[in-house]
Parts: sequence; structure tokens; C-alpha cells
Amino acid sequence: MKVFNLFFKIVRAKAGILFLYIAIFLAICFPMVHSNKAKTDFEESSISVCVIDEDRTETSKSLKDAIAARNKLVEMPHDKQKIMDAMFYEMVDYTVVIKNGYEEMLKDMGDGDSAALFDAYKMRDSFQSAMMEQYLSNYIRLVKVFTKDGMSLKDACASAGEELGKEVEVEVVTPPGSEVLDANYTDNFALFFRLLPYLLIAIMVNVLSAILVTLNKKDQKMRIECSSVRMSSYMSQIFFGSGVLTILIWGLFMVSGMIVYGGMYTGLHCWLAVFNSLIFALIAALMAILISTFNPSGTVVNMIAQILGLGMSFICGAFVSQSYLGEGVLAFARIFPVYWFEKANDMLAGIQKGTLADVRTCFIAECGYIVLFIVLIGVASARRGGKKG
Amino acid sequence: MGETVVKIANLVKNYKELRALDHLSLTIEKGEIFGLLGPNGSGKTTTISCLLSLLAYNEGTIELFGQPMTPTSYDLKARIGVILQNVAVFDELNVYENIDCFCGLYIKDKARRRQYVDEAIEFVGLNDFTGFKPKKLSGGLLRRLNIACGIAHKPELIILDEPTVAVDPQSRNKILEGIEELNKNGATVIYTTHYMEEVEQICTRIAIMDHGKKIAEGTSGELKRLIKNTETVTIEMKEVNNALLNTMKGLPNVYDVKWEAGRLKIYLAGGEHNLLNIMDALKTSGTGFGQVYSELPTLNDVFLEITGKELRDKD
Amino acid sequence: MFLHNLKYEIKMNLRAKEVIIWMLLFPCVLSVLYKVAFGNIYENGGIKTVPVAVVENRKDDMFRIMMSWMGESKSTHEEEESNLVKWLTKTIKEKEENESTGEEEKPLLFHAIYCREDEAYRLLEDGDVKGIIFVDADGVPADTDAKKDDAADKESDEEITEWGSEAVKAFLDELGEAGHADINEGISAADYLTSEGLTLEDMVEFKDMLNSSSRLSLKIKSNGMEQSSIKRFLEMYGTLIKITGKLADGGNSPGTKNVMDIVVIEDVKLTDGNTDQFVTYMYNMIAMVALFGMTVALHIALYSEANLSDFGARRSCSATPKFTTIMAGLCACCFTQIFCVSVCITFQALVLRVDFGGRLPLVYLGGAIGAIMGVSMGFFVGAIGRIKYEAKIGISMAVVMTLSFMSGLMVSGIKAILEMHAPIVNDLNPVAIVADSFYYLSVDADTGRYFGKLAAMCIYTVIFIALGFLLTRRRKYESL
Repeated sequence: MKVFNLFFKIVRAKAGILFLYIAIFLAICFPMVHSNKAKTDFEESSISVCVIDEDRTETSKSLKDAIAARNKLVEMPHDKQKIMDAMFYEMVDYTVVIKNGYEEMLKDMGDGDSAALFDAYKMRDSFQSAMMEQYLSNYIRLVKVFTKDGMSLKDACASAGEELGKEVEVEVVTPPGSEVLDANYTDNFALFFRLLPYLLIAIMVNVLSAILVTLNKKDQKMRIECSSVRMSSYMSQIFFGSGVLTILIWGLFMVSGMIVYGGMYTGLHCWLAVFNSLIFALIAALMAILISTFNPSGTVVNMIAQILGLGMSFICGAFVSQSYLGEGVLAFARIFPVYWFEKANDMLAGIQKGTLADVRTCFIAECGYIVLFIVLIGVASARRGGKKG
Repeated sequence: MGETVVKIANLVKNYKELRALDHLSLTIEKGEIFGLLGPNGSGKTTTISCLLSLLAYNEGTIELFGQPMTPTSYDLKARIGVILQNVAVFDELNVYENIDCFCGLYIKDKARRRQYVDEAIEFVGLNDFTGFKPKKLSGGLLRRLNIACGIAHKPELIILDEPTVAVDPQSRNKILEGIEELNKNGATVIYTTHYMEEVEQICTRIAIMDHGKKIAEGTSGELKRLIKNTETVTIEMKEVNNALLNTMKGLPNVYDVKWEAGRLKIYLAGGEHNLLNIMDALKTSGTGFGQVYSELPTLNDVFLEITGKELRDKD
Repeated sequence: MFLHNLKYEIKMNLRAKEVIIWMLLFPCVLSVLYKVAFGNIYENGGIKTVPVAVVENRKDDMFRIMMSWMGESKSTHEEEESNLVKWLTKTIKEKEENESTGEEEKPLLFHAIYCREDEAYRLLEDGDVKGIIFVDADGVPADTDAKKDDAADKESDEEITEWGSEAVKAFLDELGEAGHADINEGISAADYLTSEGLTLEDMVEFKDMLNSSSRLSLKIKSNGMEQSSIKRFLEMYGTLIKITGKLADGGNSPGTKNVMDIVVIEDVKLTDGNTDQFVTYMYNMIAMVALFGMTVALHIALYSEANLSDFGARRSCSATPKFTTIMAGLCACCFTQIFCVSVCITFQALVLRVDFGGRLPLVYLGGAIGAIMGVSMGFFVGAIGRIKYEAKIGISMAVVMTLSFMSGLMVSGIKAILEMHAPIVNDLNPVAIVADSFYYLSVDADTGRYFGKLAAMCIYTVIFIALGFLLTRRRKYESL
């Protein structure tokens, strides 16, 4: 087991990077997973509205209150740049300035007159802004209609707000015959597994490839070839070492996962997700081995790790859910193993529709990659061996 | 002798508890090839590093060309060429570029530098390899490149720290010849090694170091004269009796006799006709013998006699 | 001396071909992937068509017309539509085409599928629709019927025509979001409608449509923005019916009928720059490449410190001051990294056609200074103690990727969340600083904030270079 021991001596030198990645990952994942609770009742995705009241009259306040009743009010100073930033990043969906003199203008507004009561800061078209535009227009229309009916402005505003506050009845249903979701595997926690491929690829390439490159350096390789260790034994020990390391890294992540999860995993879906990640850990390890056969240098190994990790994660929906990606992208993404991992994970978390049989299909697809990579590694190392001879 | 090039006085360097240099004093004159000889770990490289102001030292003074050496003595540094133990050349640059790159740290003038670089290449015999990257060079050629990088700017003082470690005999000879040639052209050379043959071959003066101390200094001959031994006669014989040993011990000038592994070694101190006396004694005893040869003392003998141990690690 | 060193440092940097190739390839490949993955997310101005099933337990033409205005609709069962409904649908579509000036197409908000209840549930279960709208009879149909009869008795044909045509106009105006009704001026609405082939019966039908509002309810499977948008739409529809109904009641009283024409909102465009949030991925990508200068610059100290490498020893005893060799190294790395960043920007701007907002030279400037900052950071890390060089590469990489993550390279919302809760993080994060400089350059009219970010980069650069020199200031070493 000399080679095996040597293998783990080199691993120790790389342990720092490994733990660095895990620590960062945990620091990022923990707050994200625990950010919001899962819901079963209908909860409206509120529109974030920033109301800047320059009129500061009872009438304008009444409007602000009406808006607040139905939407999430975001307080912002009247700073165009700050508002622009907030709107750019969709922290605020709609910004309306109730102009100075709003009350007066509303009173004086004639029949079909238009009056610039509001300034709406525009960033981009969105459903939210369309809805808010409608809301404001309808509010003023209602106020006008009510005042014509003889109401006082104050009452008209109150009535208009009330009228617009009427909500349509919404019910969250479980359609008859649908598969019951596993409440133990929430889509919040699924985020942990969703991000995992990036980490696994980055770490496997960073740690495993780097070790194998070290072991495969020309001089070392020749020395070992001349030694009494048989090449087959050498190779199998390295393979064994890689396997143990892979399981160790995967195990570390699963333990970190438990920290995020808050205890032992429970429920079938959870364990299937764990199994899913095990298959993917093997894929990532094989990918790392394949890369190591091309003998890249330190910086290059890092670059490859990032390009593969980031690239596949994006295309395949590790960073943003697959539902956000276009049909074409997803069709293309199918050729990457991360796609199948994410699809299975989404189905387990109930983000995508799918039965356990569909999940199994994903697992089988992932296993296909394991076979493919083993073949590729075989071809690559045979080619290298041939070249040397 | 003329001008003093290097003057080290009472140099002390401690690595935490370990005393690496213990009140070392050296004076090197212009035109010398000064050999610093000692086993591994005796403080040769530490001496060089202190001399170059790379290492901080605890006590003592160092003067080069009559001026104190400090890290910012760039005018002094410009007169020194350094070839350190490990090959330090850039993998990304080819032979010519490497030499030019390092030479450029000393010589500003482009035309002169080009001339110097060409001369250096010629000097180390790398003409056929100017476009090669270091990775493509064999060990010996790499060493030669390493040397070329150090001497291209035609320094007055050249410091070589074990330049022949792991070098094939052909390259080694080339390197040694080169050093002598540089010396002939006017450079003072400091040469550290644990190969005594090299030192004996080229050095005009030698200091022997052990445990951070200078234990002896002088020319090869002077050093050898320091010790009792002037000649060692070796006789190959299958067996030896005590009578013969005693006879031998009784001969004039003989101060020690040893028999081991089929060889009788007779150590002599001065005198004349020693070999004749021995041959006579052999004839008288009637013992059969094989080859007989006489050797002059080596620096190893000097080291052995002073420190009681071999200069080179027994490999 | 300096120029000589610079020449060779650059040569060495560029000859490390593998590194350079990856440094160039990496961002370009990733940019393409980003473009492919996200390029279409924000198409349609961020509006995604929401599929919705409609189960009509009661036929409501008004609702149908509204849905068809909001987007495409199809029905799983054939039904005969009345003359009026056909006309209204047609008119609305025409009106829309007239209004859209060609450059922007009105986004389709909903895709309605009219079907039976069981089918609707199946669609919901399959995820083919986001919700099911139930159109049920209102609780008090008898009452409205009575009212209608009542009203019909009183009103003459003429009145109905008059009222009906005004209501139709008001309704159309509402859809057009006020005022742009192209019902020809000079011709009364009634005449116009008559000329369009609408009859008195149609007017009566329209009035009925308005008066007999349905009870709408929604069933969904899970929460989300899309589901909420259906709800909002239904509520808006409710208000619309209410107002139109009020107008009908208010009949001929002057003023009210023009309520629909009023414009009360003035749009203030916040920026002429690129408002596509997707572009921040590109900004972050460039920022990341700039920060990769770290890995490139790690060797500067290594090659000039006698205790870190043999090169360092050799250089330390040369006639060139350490300051000169380090400066040459720094400049060479800056040159290399600026080159890499420029290629990245050029690729994004020219090949991927990313809209940087018209001030491309300043984008290059920001990228260049960002690269210099990255190099300074690498110089500093490289000068730290005796951590192994390979380990330093790994650490730098992990640091850059983490900073990039926090700046939103992977999940774009992160930066906004940090901005809300801990803005200091963004102000300090070098990747965010570089990315923000591009963002400000694109969206701000002036360059104040852009230059603010540049200043931040410069401060970082100065600090790290100063620290680096502090660490490499030693000229003698305790041990080598």
C-alpha cells in the first residue's frame, strides 16, 4: 500500500484548499437555505413599491396607505440613483412620486383633463409596473367617479382604496391524483444540493487532478515504472486512493449538508438526493481524472475547474432553476451530466414535475456518464502510453 | 599579491540555536582562485550568502574591494558574478534570452550587452543551443547555462557555489577549464565545493571549513605540509604476520602501519629513500606481495588528520 | 534596467502559453454560455407569458374579450361567438397594432386555455398552466336581471345606442390605457359603431355584459410571482368592470364619461443605459478576469525575494535594485492582465454584442484599472510568508471566486441582497467594485459614481502595493 499512502500524503498538502471551499460553501449556503420558510397557504408575491410622497397631504397619504395595504412598501430617500439601483436589481418593482400639489390638482381636475399627478420612474417593462400603472389610473378614475357621485374627496379616496383593496379568492389546491411531495425535502434545502455540482467539480479538479498530475510527472512516473511495484498494482492503488478520496470529500459535504439541514436526513426524497449527489461525486472525480491525463499546470488546473464548474452549472440550472432557462438551452444542456443531476434534484424537491420513475431515469443517465468517462480515461491514458513508447 | 578583494572578519551567524559560522575570517586577494572546501553542512553556502548580503549575520564585518558590503551596494554588486548552487534560469526564456535577461541586470548598454552575451555563450560552448528552452537541455548544459548567466557581465569577482554538483565529467572539465580561463582574464574566483580533486586542480589557495570554522588555510602544498604525513605506501598482500608489521613500524620515518582488506598501508613522515627501505624489509622477510605503490597526501588526508573524519560522506 | 526587465517579464508572462490561453478562453467561453443560458430570460422586457386555464361555469363574454386582449387564447371546445364579441375582439386587436409603432411588441401576459374542470386540473398538475380561473355566476344574478329589465323599460333605443356606444368607447379607451381612441373625431361614437355594422341588439348585449359580472376565483398549485400576477389581473379586471359599470349608471352626466381619457402618470426614464439585469453577469465576468490578475502576479515576489526562490537570490545579488525588478514585474503583469481583460471586453462587446451603454473606452479604462488592482493583490499575497506557491494559487482562486459569488457572478440577486442588508460588503468587495463601475457607467448620466469606483480601485491598488513592498522591504534574510 506504499502508493496508496503516498497518495494520501499528497492529499494532506491539499486539505487546506478543500476545507476552504467547504467553509465558504457553508457560509454561503446556510443563510440562503434558512432565508424563508416553506408555505402551504397562498401568499401573494407582493409587488415592491416605493412611494415618494412630495405632496404630504391627507389625500396623498390616503393613497400611500391604499398602496401599502396591497403591496410591500419600500422606504427610499428621493435619490434617483439609489432608486435606479434598487429598481435595476428588482429590489423595487415600481416607484411612484406623488407630486407636490397632488391634492389641489386632483380637486381642480376637470372632466377629461389629464394632470400630471404622478411621476413613475421607469427601469424596464414588467408585469409589476403594468399592474401598478393600472392601479394608479384606476384609483384616480374611481376617485373622480365617486366625487361626481357627490362624495367628498376624502371619502372618495377612502372608497377608491377600499374598492381596489378587494381581493380575488385564491385557493392552493393539490390536484387530484398528483404525487404527494416529501415535506422533508423542501425546495429551500434542495438549494444546497443544487449548488453542489459546482463545488464538487471545482474541488475534485483542484484536489484530485492536482494530486494525479503530481504523481504522473514524468520523472516520478519513470521512477515508479523502474521500481518493484507492478504498474497494474500502482494504477489500482491510485484508483483506490482516488475512490477513497472521492468518498471522503463527498462524505464531508454530506456532513456539512446535515449541519445546514439541522440533523440527520429524513425521508425518502432526502436520501435519494443524497444518493444523487454520490453519483455526481463519482462523475466529478472521473472528470478530474480525465483532466489529469492531459497534465495541466497549477494555474491551468484551476482555470479548467472553474470553466467546467461554472459553465456546466449555468447551462444546466445549478445557479438558477431550470425553469428559468429556455427550451433551447435545456436541450443543449442535456449533453452535460449536471443537467440530469439538477433535473433529478428538482423533481425530488417538487420544483419540477416528475415521478420516482423519472428520477430513476436521471440516475441512469448519470451512470451513463460514469461509463463514458471511464472509457475516455482508458482511451486517453492508452494514447499517452503509446506516445511515450 | 596586490589588492584585497574580499575581507571577512570574525563572521558569526546563528540559525536559532545552531551556530552556522563561528568567527570566520577570510582574506582573498585579487587574482586568486580561492577554494572553500568542506563537507556538506560545514557553512560554505552560508558564508557565500553572508558575503552577498543575502543573509543577516550576527557578528563580524565583510568588505569587498575595500568597501563594506551592504544590500544596497549596487556598485559593488555590479563587480560580482554569482553562480549559486541551484540552477536558476527561467523556463519560459530560451538560452540566449536567459543570459541576456540576467546580464541586463548589470549592463545597460545594449550593444555592449549583446557582445557580452555572445561571448558568454561562446565561452560555455552553448552556441548550438541558443534557441533552446532550458527544459530541453541536459543537466550538464543546464549548469553551463547557469554559469553563463552569472558571468556574462564580466565581473571582477566570481562566486561559484558548488557549480559541478551532478555534472557529467565532460561538462565538469569544461567548467573547470572555464574557471581557470576567467581567472587568467583577470577575475578573482571564489569556489566552494566538497570535491577536493577540483580544488586541488584549480585553486591557488584553499580554506578548509568544518562546523562553521576555518580549520586550515593555504595553498594545496602548504596545507599538506601542515600534516605529518608526506607519503603513504600501499602493498597488496594476502597475509601479514606481526613480525612483518613490527619490522615495518621500526623503519625510519614510519609513524603508522595498518593492514586491512589485503592492503598493507604504511604512513610516512618526511625523510628519504623510504620506498627503498620498505622494499628491502619486504625482501628480507620473504613475504609474497602484489602491487606496490606510493601516494602523496591528499586534502582528504589533511582533513582526516585535523578533524578525525573523512571529508566526503561515505557513500 | 527597468525597460530591460519589463521586456523580459512580459515575454515570460506571454510565453506561459497555457495560462494565457486559459485566461482568454475561460471568460470568452463562459460569456457565451451565460449569453446562451440567460440571454432570453429578460427578453420581452422581463415579462413572461403565463399559461392559465379558464373554467367557465358561466359564460362571460366580457371576460373572454379581456383575456384575448391580454394574450393568446385557445379553447378545447368550439363555441359560437356573438357578433359583438367578434367585433370587439377584432377592434381591440387592430387598435393594438396601430398603437405599437413596430419597434416594441406588446408582451403577451397570459395564454388562456378554456377547458373543462377535470382538464384544467390535469393541466395544473402537469405544470402546463400556473393556475385555474373559475368563472362562476355571481351570488345575486336575479337582482341584476331585474335591474336590467327595469332599465331597458325606461330607455329608448336612441338612449341605449348613445349609452352603449359611449360605454364601448370608454371600454376601448381603458384597454388603450387612456386617450388614444381612434374612433374618428367628428363622427359620433354611435354613428361610428353603426357604420361598423353593430346593431341595437349588440348595444343591449354590451350593456348586459357589463351589468352581469361574474364571480371570479383562482386555484393554484404553488405560490409564485406568476400565480400572483394572475390574481392581480383578475382584481384589475374587477375594478375595470366596476368603473365601466359606474359610467353606465352615470349615463349622460357630463364629465364622467371622459374619466377614461385622463392621464395621470408621467413616465420618467431613469436611465438611457442597459437596464437588462442579465448584463451584470457580463460585468462580473470582466471583474473576475481583472481579479485573476492575482494569480498572474503571485510570482513577482517569488522571483525577487532571495528567501523564496533561487531566481530571487540571483536577482538580489545583482546590480539592479530590488525595487526596479519588482516594479518591472508589476508593470509586466499589469500589461498582461490588461491585455486579457481587454480581449474579454472586446469579445463581449463585439462578438456577443453586449450593450455597455455607449461609453466603451471608459469600460476599457475601468477594466484596466481593475486588472491593476488584481495584480496588486496578487503581488501582496505572493509576498506573504512562506506559503507554498501552489497553495497561493489555490487560495487566490478560491478568494476570487467567492468575491465573484458575492458580487453576483453566479446568482445575480446576491449583490442586491447585500446592498440592502450590508452595503459595506459591496463597497469593499473588489469584484463588486469593478462590476459596479461598469454598471454605473451604463446607467448613470454622469460619471461621478463611476470615477468613485475607479478611485476605490486605485486606493486598493496603492494599499496592496504598499503592503507588498512592506513585506518585501527586507534586504537580508534570517535564513534562505
